[in-house]
Amino acid sequence: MKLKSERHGSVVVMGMKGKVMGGPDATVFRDELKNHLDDGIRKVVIDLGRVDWMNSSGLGILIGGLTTVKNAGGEMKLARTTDKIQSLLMITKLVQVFSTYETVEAAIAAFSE
Amino acid sequence: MLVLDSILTSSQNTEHLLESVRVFREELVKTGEVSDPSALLEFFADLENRLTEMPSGLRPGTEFDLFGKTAMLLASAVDEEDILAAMLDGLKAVLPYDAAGVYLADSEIPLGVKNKHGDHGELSVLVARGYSIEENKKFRQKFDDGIVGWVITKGAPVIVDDTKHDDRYIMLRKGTRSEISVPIISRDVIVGAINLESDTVSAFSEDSLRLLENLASYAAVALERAKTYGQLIEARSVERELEIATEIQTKLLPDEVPQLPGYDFAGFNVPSERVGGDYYDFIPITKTDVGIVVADVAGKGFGAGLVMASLRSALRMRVEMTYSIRAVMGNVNRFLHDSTGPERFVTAFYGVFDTITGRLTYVNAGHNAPILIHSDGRIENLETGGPLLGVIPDAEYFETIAEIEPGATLILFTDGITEACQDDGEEFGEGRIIEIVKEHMNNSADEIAHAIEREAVRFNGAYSPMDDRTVLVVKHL
Repeated sequence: MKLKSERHGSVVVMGMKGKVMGGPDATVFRDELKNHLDDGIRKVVIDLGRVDWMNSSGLGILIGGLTTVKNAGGEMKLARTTDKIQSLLMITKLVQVFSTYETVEAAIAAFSE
Repeated sequence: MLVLDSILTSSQNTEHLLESVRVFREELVKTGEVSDPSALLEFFADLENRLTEMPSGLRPGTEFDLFGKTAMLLASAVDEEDILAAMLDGLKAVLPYDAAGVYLADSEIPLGVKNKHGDHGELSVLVARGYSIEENKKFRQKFDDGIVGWVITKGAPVIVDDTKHDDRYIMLRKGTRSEISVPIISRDVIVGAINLESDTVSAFSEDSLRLLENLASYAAVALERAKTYGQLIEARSVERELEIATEIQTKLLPDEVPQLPGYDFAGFNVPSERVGGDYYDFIPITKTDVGIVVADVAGKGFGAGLVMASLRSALRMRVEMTYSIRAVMGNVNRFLHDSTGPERFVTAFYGVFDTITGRLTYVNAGHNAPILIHSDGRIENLETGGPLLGVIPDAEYFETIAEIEPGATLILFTDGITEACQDDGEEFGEGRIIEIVKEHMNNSADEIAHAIEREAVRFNGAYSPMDDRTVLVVKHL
């Protein structure tokens, strides 16, 4: 997995790329997310548009991220969920737990609503 | 061992000694005293090479005692420290000294490479003779300190005829006037040095050097052997722990399926690693009611195995306490949430099957929906329930009823089956499961379950890794 963060005003967009499968990826994601929270950021968008593949451990990364952000009093949204991820969210019935958006812009805009 | 000893004392030349060692090796392998003959044979080949390279014309008696006994000790189970100590003690009769030490480098230095460790590397003494307690305390020194430091960094031997006229000499022991030091080289790596000190000026000759270099090659074997044995023992203990974990986990899975009139049950699990994260169970509730569980713990290995074990006991305990399926799931969810981190979760399906009515009351907690193929071919996905377990502490779970009428087949599985994946990214999916079941409709539940797993493995191909695979099949005959 490759991870790249971009600031859009008060929102950070964390873009995941490639295969997301837990293990070392989880550590990379957790550390970077923690840096953002330490910087005072409370609005996080995870851009999943360039994720090729995600298994259930990869899903664990998203769940862990959501819990961390919520515990810090923030919000995390998913953007550009692929069919595979959408189906994982359906099976695990996490659709109600995650807010998903078709574009990054829509996810960012949703914070100001 | 005694046999070898007597052969050695009568050995008068290298050839004879070599022969003795060969006889000894064959005896050892034959008697089965050694559990790993391949490691032993490799060691003996090395030892024989060294003996072949030994200089001819060694003085009979003492030198043979030294090398022969060392060879014997190396072939036995004696640890390296005792071997090196015996070497130094045996050496004294052949090459008199007043103090001696075997030093080890804390990092290995490849031969012929300019030493970069310089100030960082340190030497420690493994075995010493002839030093006072205070002198012993001073042993730890840097690589570039003293004669021994020089020998270790350069990988070359040195004879110091008069310590008073050598800049490299650092006084460690009072009274030392001359010194000889040779590196211990094991597989082109400098691992340490043997150092002898004498109270007499010019106590060591070129002959002493040759002898000591030979002894150093034995010391190298002793240290190499200790390292190999250490690794072997460590690997064996990890292997043993894995075996135990596998054994425990196998016992946590049911060893038989329910035998109930009118039904055919089957279930099995293939872990992708030694310790898996999949769990399935048939829990007897009454004589005619049976609890059916299939679950998948995120991740693999020991961590997943531990969660799987605690899930099993949490579930079984709560099943005994309450008949309400959704209450059981709610409780287990909270328990897992409180006892695992946010990234660790479980997808689970739990249902109670009333074999009299054919009704399955179930909750699906984020698990791949079991497939119910009705007698008329209609497909029902058992989805109702709530989110996966262990993530949302106050999650609500809903239960519902599925009718498994005569002629219907229920298939429960984990994502290791549906996510079997071809190189082009295509997944095995649920459609293929349905096709296989329909093809094998007249076969037993066990045959159907194994056909599904077999086809998933074939679909995946030999080269991509697979997840744990679990399949349960319930046929209402």
